[in-house]
Amino acid sequence: MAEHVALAPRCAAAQSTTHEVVVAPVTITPTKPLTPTHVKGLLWTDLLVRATSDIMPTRLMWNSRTAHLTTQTTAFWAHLDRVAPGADWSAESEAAIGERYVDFHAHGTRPDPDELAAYFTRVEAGWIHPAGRRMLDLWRDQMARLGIADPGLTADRPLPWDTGQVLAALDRRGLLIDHRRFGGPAYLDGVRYGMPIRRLVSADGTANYLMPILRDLLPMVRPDRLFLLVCDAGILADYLLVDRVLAEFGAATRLVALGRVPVDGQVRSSKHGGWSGVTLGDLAATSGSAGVRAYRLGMRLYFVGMLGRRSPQSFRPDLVRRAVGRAARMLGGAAGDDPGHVARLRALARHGYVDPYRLTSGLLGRSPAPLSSQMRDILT
Amino acid sequence: MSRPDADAALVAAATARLASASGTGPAAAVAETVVVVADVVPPAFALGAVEFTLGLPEDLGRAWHRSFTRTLFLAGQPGTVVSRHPARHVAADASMSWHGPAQGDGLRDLSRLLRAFRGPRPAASVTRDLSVLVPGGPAGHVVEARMATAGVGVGDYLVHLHHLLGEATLRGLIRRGDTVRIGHAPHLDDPDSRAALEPGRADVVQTRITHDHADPGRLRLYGVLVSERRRS
Repeated sequence: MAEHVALAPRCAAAQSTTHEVVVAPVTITPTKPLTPTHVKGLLWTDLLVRATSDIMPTRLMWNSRTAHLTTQTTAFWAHLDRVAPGADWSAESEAAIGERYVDFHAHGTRPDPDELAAYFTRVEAGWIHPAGRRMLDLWRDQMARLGIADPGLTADRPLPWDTGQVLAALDRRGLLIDHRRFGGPAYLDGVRYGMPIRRLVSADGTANYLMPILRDLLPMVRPDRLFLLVCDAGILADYLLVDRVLAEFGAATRLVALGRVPVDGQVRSSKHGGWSGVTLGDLAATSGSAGVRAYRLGMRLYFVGMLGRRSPQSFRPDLVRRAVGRAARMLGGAAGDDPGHVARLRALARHGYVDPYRLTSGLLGRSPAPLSSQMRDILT
Repeated sequence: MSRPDADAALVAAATARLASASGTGPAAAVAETVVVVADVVPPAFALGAVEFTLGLPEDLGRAWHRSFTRTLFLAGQPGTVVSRHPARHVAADASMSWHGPAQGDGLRDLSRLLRAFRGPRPAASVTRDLSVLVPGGPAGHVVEARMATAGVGVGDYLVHLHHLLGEATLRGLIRRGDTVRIGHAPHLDDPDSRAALEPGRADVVQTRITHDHADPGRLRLYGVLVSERRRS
């Protein structure tokens, strides 16, 4: 399967010319609690950045606005303002906000394009709905406990390009089918790659979630930057296309596609709920008597080293507990400096970045070596 | 002509068209053409429709005629499509390409890569009266066509004009060397258009008659074409 869609020549070129690695994960809409699938993505991203930055300048690209500038988010916010106008969200629980999200998808009505457009305008200006802001504040705390630094969840980061600039740039490269003048949609044309054309802007003028991603990424393309596109397997087809488009603009890219984590045997969209008891908030609350560093290491061992990219196994809280216990034992000894640390990481970076799976699965042996201080910095 | 008389004339002309198409051979599997639309350039489209049809082998042309020149318009770019899905004809400006006609799943892979063309904006935004010369034969003959535009979107305009030109070409009303003039009017209720519906003129006339988009219970004349060729 296409977890590494890069072909060998691109791979070699990237390694010889890359001066900076840019880790660009799909952002998460702050409409529901963080589920195991989200946690997996966050931890993979965290390790990609932290481990790779030990061998190469590395930056994380995270702009919450790409998640807010979606119909998924704005339609929900419009719904909240309709059913609970003026509500105080500042002390609301994530479960309560998430339940409203499920309810919206079950019973809510979709706002008309004009109503949505008004929300898009506000989001472009930096506005975050108070319910979204509350959710992001809760995530920030949960991520801090997990050892993930705030990537700027509520930071005001205007997207460098507007929709028109993206469409013009695509058009110049023959990648655009723009039928808006006939009252139709605008499409990204991936036919040359054997991929179906993909709508970017609907007939009513609403851009879909790929547009803010392209507005964020395309201006970042430089010949010496390697982009790691982290996405979940549910949107792999879209990301294969994004990957090809970035390459068309001259970027070196790698696609890191992560399988979703089933809960009770089912991979469900968050909009249908079913996350009770397995949210990141729930997991943090039940991590037992182990210290916070053991919790952080254990979560990384489980979500990265044990699940790998595409394990179809359902989420196993018992294995998380076991991983945290193992982590506690691994952290028990004294941490020594490892003079071979960088060389060790380079050996794990066959594709231009340190592979988080190889980094963590190597720690799951029967009697793992004591963790060096550098590895502790990366993993806790 | 009173409205009932006009309706009766439309029914008679539509029936004649059905008879003409089905009379071209025994019923068989539906043959469908796909037109890939990057842009709508009416002269390139009109000429492309005629040249595509003229280039069809006889058996395919008959099969397509029996299928009432069924055609699917898909959003796409000929420039990216034709390397994987060879076209039978590409417009000179590459705004459109023609594929098929094919039966069954012949064009399924192409259809899966593309999406149905959507063009609800008024056709009047892209149409103007035009004239195209079909290359490759003795010049001199002029084919006159008129298209209705009131309440007609760009997408429907393509459908109507393609049926009109495709069937007219299959029937020999348009040949190489001909000039095809296409005029536009909100409604085709002028005396010339009405006169073209008379049964006695069916041999030199092609019509496009189908359900009125605004009033599906009624038929409407969306296009008419007259080709009165002097006997040589």
